[in-house]
Amino acid sequence: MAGFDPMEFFALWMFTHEEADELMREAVERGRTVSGEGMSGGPDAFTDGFMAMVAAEKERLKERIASGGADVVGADVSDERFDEIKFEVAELRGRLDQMQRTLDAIAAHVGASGA
Amino acid sequence: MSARSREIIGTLIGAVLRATVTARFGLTPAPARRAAFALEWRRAFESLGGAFLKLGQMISVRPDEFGDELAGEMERLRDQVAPAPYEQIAAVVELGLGATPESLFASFEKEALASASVAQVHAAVLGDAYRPVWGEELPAGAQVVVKVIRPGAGEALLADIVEARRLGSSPLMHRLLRGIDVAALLDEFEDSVRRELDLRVEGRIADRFAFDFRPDPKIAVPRIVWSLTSPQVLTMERMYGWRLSELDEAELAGVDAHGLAVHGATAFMRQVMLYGRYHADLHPSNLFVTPDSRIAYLDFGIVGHLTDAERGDIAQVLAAFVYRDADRALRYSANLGVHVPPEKIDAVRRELGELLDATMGGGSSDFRHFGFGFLALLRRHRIAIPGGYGLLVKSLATVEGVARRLYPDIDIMEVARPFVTRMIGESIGSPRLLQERLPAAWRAAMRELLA
Repeated sequence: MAGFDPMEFFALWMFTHEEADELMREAVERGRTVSGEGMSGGPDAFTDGFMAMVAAEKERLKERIASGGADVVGADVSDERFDEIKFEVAELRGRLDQMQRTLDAIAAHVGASGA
Repeated sequence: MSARSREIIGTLIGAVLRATVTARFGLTPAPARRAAFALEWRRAFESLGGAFLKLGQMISVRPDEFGDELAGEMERLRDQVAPAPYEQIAAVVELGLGATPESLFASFEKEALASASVAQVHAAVLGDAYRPVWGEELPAGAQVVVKVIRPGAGEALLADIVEARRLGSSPLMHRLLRGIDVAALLDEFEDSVRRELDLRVEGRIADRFAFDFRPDPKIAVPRIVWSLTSPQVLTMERMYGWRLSELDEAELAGVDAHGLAVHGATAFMRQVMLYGRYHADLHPSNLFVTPDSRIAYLDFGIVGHLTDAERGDIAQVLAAFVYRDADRALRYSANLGVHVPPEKIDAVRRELGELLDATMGGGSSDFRHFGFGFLALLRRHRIAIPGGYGLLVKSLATVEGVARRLYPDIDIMEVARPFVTRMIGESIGSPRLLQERLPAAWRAAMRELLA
C-alpha cells in the first residue's frame, strides 16, 4: 500500500474546492438572471435562485463585517422579544380600557333605572 | 311557512328559472351557463339582503367550494343599505358606552359616512387624548370613525341562518345546491357572522396588524380607541385617501403607483409567510392609498390564520409555483390537505405542469388564471380542497388584481420569489429538518461519489 501523500491530499482538496467554486458561481449567475422568461423551471431553478440569494446575503455580510456590525443579529432578536412583551401589555391595557367602559355603561344604566 | 321563507324560496326559484332561460335550457356552452347562474344568484342574494349579503361575501372568497364564476360574481355584490336613523344609532352607542354620543365625543356626525347591512359608520372627533395599543397617541380633537352595529341586524342575520338551515335540508334545495355541503357551510357562516357581530374582534385584529407592520412606514392601520368601544361600537382613527377605484385622482396627486403595487404585494407575502395572519378580503374598497403614499388597510372582517407548519408548506407550494415545479407543488399541497389519490397522480402532475407552463412562464405570470385553473383541475379530478387552501389562492389572486390596478405590469410571482426562496432556505437551518434530511443527503452524496 502506497504511503499517505499530504501534497496529493491537499491538491485533491484544492481541486474539489475549485470545482465546487466554479459550480457555485455558475449557479449564482443562473439564479441572478432567472426570470419568468429564462427560467427552465423545476427544482434546479429553485436551487439556482437560492444560491443567488445566498450570494447576495454574503455580500451584505461582508459589508456588515467591514463596518464592524457583524453581531447585531442578537440585538434584533432581543428587540423583537421586548416588542412582543410591550404589545402584550398594551393589548391588556386596551382590554382593561374596554372593560372599564363596559362597567361604566352598566353602572350608568343601573343608576338610570334606579333613579 | 314564514313570510321570510316564502320570500327566500320565491327569490331563489325565480333566479334559477331566469338563469335557465338565459342559458337556453342548458344548450349554451358550459362557461356561459355557469356565468348566467352566477349572475342570477348574485342578484337574488342582493335582493334578499340580510344574511344573504354576508353569505355572498363569504362565497366570494371561496372559489374552491363554489367555483371561479360564482365567487367572481359575488365579488360584485354590493352591501349598501339606507342608514338607520340617528336616534337608533345613538341608542346603541348609549347602551354600549353608557353615555350619549354627544357627551362621549367632541363632535359626532349624525349623518352616516357609509352604511352596510350589519353596521354603519359615523365620523366623530375625540374629546380626550387616547393612547392606543400600538402607535402614537391620538390627541384630543383627532378625527375618528365610529362603527355601530345596526339595531336588530344581529337578530335578523341569525334568524335568516335558522331559515336557511331549514330550507337547506329540503329536497328542493338539495337539488339546487348539489355538491355543496350546506350544513357545514352554514356552520362556518354562522361562526363568521357571530365574530362579525362583536366588533371587538375586528379591533383586536387591527391592533395585531398594526404591531406586525410596525417596522414598515408604508403600511397604515387605523388605531383603535378601546375606551370608546363595546361589542356593538368600534371607535377607530379615521383614514384619509383614495379607494383603489379612485386611483386616477390619486395618481394625479403624485402617488407612486408602481412602488405601492410592489409594496402592497410584498406586505401580503409577509402576512402569509412571516406573521401567519393575512387580510383575506382585500377588495378595493378595503384598501386606501393615502396622500403620503401609504397603503391603509381597513375592515378586518375576514382574516386567514396559519400555523408555523402551514407557513412552511405554503412557502414550498408557492416556491413550486414560482419555479414551475409540479412535483414539489403536489408533495407540499398534500401536507396542506390536498390529497391526490395514487391512481390520479400522473394525470394531475402532467396537467399541473401544463398549467404552470401556460400561466407562469413566458416572461410574466398570471396567478389568477393559474390559481383558479389549479382549483378547477382539482375539482375536475374530484379531489377535496381544504377551505384554507382555497381562501389563500383566492387572496393571492385578489392581491394580484389589486396590485395590477395600481400598476398593470406587476408580476406578483416575481414579488413572491425572494420571499419563498428565503423562507425555504432558512428552514434548512432548523435542527428538526437537519436531523430528518441529513442522513438521506449524506447517502445521496456518497452514492453520487461512488457511482
